[in-house]
Amino acid sequence: MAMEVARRLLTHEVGEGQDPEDLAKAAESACQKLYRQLAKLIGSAGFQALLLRAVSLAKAEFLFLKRVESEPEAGTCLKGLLESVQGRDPGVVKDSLIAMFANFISLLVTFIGEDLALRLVRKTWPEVPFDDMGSGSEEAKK
Amino acid sequence: MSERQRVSIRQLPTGVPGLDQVIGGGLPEYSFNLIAGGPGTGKTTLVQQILFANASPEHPGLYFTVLGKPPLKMLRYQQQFGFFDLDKVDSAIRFVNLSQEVLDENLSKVLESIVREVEGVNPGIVVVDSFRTVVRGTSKATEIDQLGLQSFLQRLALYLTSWQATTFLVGEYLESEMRDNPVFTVADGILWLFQSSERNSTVRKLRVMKMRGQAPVLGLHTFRITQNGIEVFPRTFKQIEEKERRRPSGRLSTGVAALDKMMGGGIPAGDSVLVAGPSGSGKTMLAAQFIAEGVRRGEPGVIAVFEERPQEYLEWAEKLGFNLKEMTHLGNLKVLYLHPLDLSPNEAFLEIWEATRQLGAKRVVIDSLSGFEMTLAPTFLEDLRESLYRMIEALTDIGITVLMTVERVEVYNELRFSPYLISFLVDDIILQRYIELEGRLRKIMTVVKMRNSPHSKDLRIYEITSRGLVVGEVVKGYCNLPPGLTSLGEIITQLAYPGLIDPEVRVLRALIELREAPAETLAQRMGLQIPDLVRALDRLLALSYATQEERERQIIYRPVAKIPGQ
Repeated sequence: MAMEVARRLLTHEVGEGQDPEDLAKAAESACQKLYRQLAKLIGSAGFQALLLRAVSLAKAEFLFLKRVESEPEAGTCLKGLLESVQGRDPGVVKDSLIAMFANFISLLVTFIGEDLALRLVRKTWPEVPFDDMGSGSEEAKK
Repeated sequence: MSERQRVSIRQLPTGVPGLDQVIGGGLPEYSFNLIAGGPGTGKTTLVQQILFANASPEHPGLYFTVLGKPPLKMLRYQQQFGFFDLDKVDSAIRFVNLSQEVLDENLSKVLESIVREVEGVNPGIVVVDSFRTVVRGTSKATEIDQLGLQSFLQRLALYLTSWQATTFLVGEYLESEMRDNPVFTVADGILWLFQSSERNSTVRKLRVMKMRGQAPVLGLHTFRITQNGIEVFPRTFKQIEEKERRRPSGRLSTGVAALDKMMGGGIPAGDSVLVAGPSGSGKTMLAAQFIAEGVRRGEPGVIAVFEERPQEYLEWAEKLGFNLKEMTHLGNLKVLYLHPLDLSPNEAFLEIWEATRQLGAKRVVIDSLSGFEMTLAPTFLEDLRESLYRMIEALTDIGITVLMTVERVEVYNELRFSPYLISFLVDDIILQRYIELEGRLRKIMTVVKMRNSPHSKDLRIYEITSRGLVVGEVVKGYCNLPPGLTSLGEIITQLAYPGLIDPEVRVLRALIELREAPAETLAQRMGLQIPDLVRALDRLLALSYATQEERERQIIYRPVAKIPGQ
């Protein structure tokens, strides 16, 4: 479930663009939107803690993300992402960003439950259809 | 001022079972309240339960979280409670994190943030959790003084009240802070939560320190936190309305015809009865017979058991020929198993009360008081007698007949605490015991006391049979007690005059015969030395068995108690 949510929201943000820079900008935009929606509820520190963990998990799988840092309060959610993805295979970059957002959503589900987590995601992207997805509870537990 | 001119304050239901009764009917609308207590006492759970019960899309709730209570964790844990309705989150209830404002700014900036959110959401309920952290966090930067805090609080209270919000500040405070901290002065209502520990047991308690415009029930009330949230057990039990009070006429059959006869035709309806006896003497059987007989006569019953689970109890009864199982299925009987950890008398009573109301019960059995005593948290043992008194009174006040059993240990003159304490509280006492008769150990039964009726003073042999208790012949002649047992007369005395020893009972009996007398007259009549007599009289006065008055420079003593059975 988390993977599919992440894929849809990134696809929505990136629009027509498909090169690594477009994907990085879309990821930054998505992250900013999530921050604005979630920081009020779980606090800036809470958001940053989850993002830090999500990025860290993604780094283990996609080594080229190792220089990415999360600093939402400083105005940039994913510092160093643009530089990290330049010249990479767009398909791999897309996979890495989907994995990162999926990690974030999985963590959110783990802590506040799938119901509340999906509500917040839907509220952030009301124009993106998420209603057709299964519960994803099992995946969230992984 | 006439009634028409008075402002009417609407009361909001708290959504916390038992709490509305404690705070005087509900929460005054637009009031500014403080929920205080130590860590882990249940402050956040309480305030969220109130919030979820009252927030709606028309009157949303605004919940400000601050440093020290990470919202991520709070949302995670609080979701486990039944009252946490996910549909209300971010619709009827908005959680807003103020940590950054507290870290960066001063109290005025915090107030500005609160005002901004309140004006945007237009809430009916506002919570700041924890307010203590707001003050601590901002005071580091701005060195606010008490006057500054008071001014902030007054502005906050005034603003939120004028914005028609009912407000709750949550905070960890010590009772010793009450005098100097302005938050206690500004608050309209203060609820204080405690955890009281004794030996291995911990009990949660709540106190209403203040509730402007209302008459709360003072004192400490126990509460429990379960998956459904908080439930409060008011210390006054249920307030019985005058119209509900009734003293029914007639007698209730015990289900044992010969015992009914011994009791002058049965138990007077609305009486409290104590059945005391050693282990295996048939107390539980008599209690089951009493309930079964009631159901047979169309009088539903409630049995509270403490030592056995209802299923085991019902199976045991079935083996003895009492089909209590069917009675429960037909809705004529409810068997309550009261055995949670650290039970409070109020909690037990509430369960019994709810069951009697649900069934329209006329008979209640508590089997046994010994089990009840063992289930209670140690902190309640000291007040057990008072709690039992209020419980018995509340039930009998609405015409319910209550039968309780209690175990008497009969070896080496060991006298258990409870029977003698509570015998003073009940109307009627039936005593069971073993005696050695013609080389056999037999069971005998006697009616020791009936407050509202004459009764037989016979000692009668009885047997436990497959048809229940069967009472036989009167014991006449020689009774030989097994070694170490207290004499029957002594037991009757102890039950009838709890707290007195034999010499004191003799003085009381002499006083009853004389109706009134000075110490000298009593000493002469009884052949006692004055110091011995005065010691006994002091004891009678202390336990309210006698009164004294000065007449013509002489102290005259008068008895208060009656001879047992009279």
